[in-house]
Amino acid sequence: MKNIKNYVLNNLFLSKRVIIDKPGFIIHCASAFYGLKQSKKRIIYFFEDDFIDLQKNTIKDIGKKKASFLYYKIGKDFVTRHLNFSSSKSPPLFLKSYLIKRIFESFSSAGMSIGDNVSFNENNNSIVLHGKDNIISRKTKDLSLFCGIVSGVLSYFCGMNIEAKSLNNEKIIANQNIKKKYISNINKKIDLAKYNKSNLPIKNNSHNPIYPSLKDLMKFNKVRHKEGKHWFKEHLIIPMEIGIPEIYVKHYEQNDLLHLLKQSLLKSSEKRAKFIFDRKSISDDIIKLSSILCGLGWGKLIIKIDKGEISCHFISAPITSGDFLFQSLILNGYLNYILNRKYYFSSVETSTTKIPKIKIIYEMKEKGPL
Amino acid sequence: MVFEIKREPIGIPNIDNMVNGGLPKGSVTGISGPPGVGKSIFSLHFILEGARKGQKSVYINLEEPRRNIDNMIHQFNFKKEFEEFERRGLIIIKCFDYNKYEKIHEDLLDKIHDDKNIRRLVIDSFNCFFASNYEFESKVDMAIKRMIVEAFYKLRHTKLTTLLTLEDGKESNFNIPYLVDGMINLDYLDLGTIERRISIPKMRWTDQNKEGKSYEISKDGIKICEDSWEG
Repeated sequence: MKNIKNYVLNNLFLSKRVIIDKPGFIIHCASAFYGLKQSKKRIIYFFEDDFIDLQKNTIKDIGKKKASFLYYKIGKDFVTRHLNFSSSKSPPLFLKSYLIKRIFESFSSAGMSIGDNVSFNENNNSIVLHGKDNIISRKTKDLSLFCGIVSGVLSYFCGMNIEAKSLNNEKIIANQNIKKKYISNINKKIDLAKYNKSNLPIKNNSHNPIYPSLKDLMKFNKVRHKEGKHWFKEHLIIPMEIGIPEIYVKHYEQNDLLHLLKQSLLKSSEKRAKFIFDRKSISDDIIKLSSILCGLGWGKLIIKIDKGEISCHFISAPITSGDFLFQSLILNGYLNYILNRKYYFSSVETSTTKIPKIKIIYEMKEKGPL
Repeated sequence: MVFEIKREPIGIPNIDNMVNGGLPKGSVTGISGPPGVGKSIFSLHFILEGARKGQKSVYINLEEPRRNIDNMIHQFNFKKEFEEFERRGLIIIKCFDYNKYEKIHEDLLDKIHDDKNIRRLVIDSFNCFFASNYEFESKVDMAIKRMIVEAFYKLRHTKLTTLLTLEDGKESNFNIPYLVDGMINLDYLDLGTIERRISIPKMRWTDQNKEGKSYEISKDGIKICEDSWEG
């Protein structure tokens, strides 16, 4: 009887997911289910290390308590944005428990092992999750980002604000008794028409050896899928909806920590570039950089280097309301390493006329190697 | 009674290992990939290996003139061996342009079918001929598909093993991947240096290697190499 119930719920009520993976862009499509509309999200892959280093540096700079609260807010906004895509209502009572458990269980596939062991009490809307080895927090030893995520999910589906906290690095609890911390003020309404027009290219991009898709990188053994996660060499890469990095930027800015975000992302990508680029030939490394970022869903990248200035043109770029700062800083680090010079992020221009494009300018302000 | 599939080795050792020792005898295999990836060179290995085993092997090229084929063979260390086999009549090379091939296509396949001494055949490239010669209207499309099926019928006999090169990106592949007994895919990626990869998604009657392998093209032709970022 339980299997029949599961079968019916899975096939009628839970969304089916499809991934569209083309050169330069990756789209997660979730089919409509009960009250939720079909949603398409543009995804780009980042190196987990960028987020680990950022959080660690933040903890070091402002202390664990302030950093935890910052990341709690980021996590809650993160998931609120995700759920806003579907414009959903609270589920009917008979589905609520099942749905909430299933959503958290699906977190496992995104590298959040707290979804492995979920206990939800629908009488008092409380939840307990167990799991170590979660992405990012496995190295930062701090679960505050995930606490925010759990709070966001539960609040959304229970129709009331429910806060969460971690008891150690393996357990998160959320219930109505936890003192109020933060209510997400992310815009409920996402302009989906604008988002879709800017980020979901209509034309199919066929295979191209210079502009590979993620599938091509996997086919050529550059990206591996192991234990539910994607790895680029020995570095974990994680998928993020394109609006998530802006949430980070917003919170860092609001807390006067933008300088820290900038420094951390730059240093983190410069450090990782040593494992990716061999600096035997600048042109070869530039091609490799373009290919890798294309496969990770950043868009098709053309780099022009002209004396003291680098211009990076992303075609079919992910366009959001933000200024692409997060990605620009990561790219800055790679370019600095490849060219063995210090370049500084100068400006970014966005164009959404026919084909979405982003142009980023970096300027060299100091001569001499890194 | 133990039923064993007889095989014709391709002549590239680590690729033969991927298909239990070679292509199934009497089969029709497609080899696809973008331009310049090494399909024709792969075909040369197949033809050469046949000649080494004393088998009459025919290479038909529909895109390049004879001198281009000679130039291709001359880049490799096996050129002298290849020329000697051609002199002895074990390797036959025929180059046709599309117009000529269109006129002789049916007769040529009949001759190949009837000549039981021919054990290996390569047609390079097979789908381009149909893609370039016919417009894509539904009635003509059906006629082409029928022609292709008839061609396959003539190619299939127990002693002839056929390799068809198929260009990627042609507007219509006329369901050829469904008709062939095996598909070998060659592909490349530019990551600063060109990396090439072979994979075998389909091979009937064969427990083929499910993972792809990296390869390079050297003076000895195609050679499997270690994956660059593994380990």
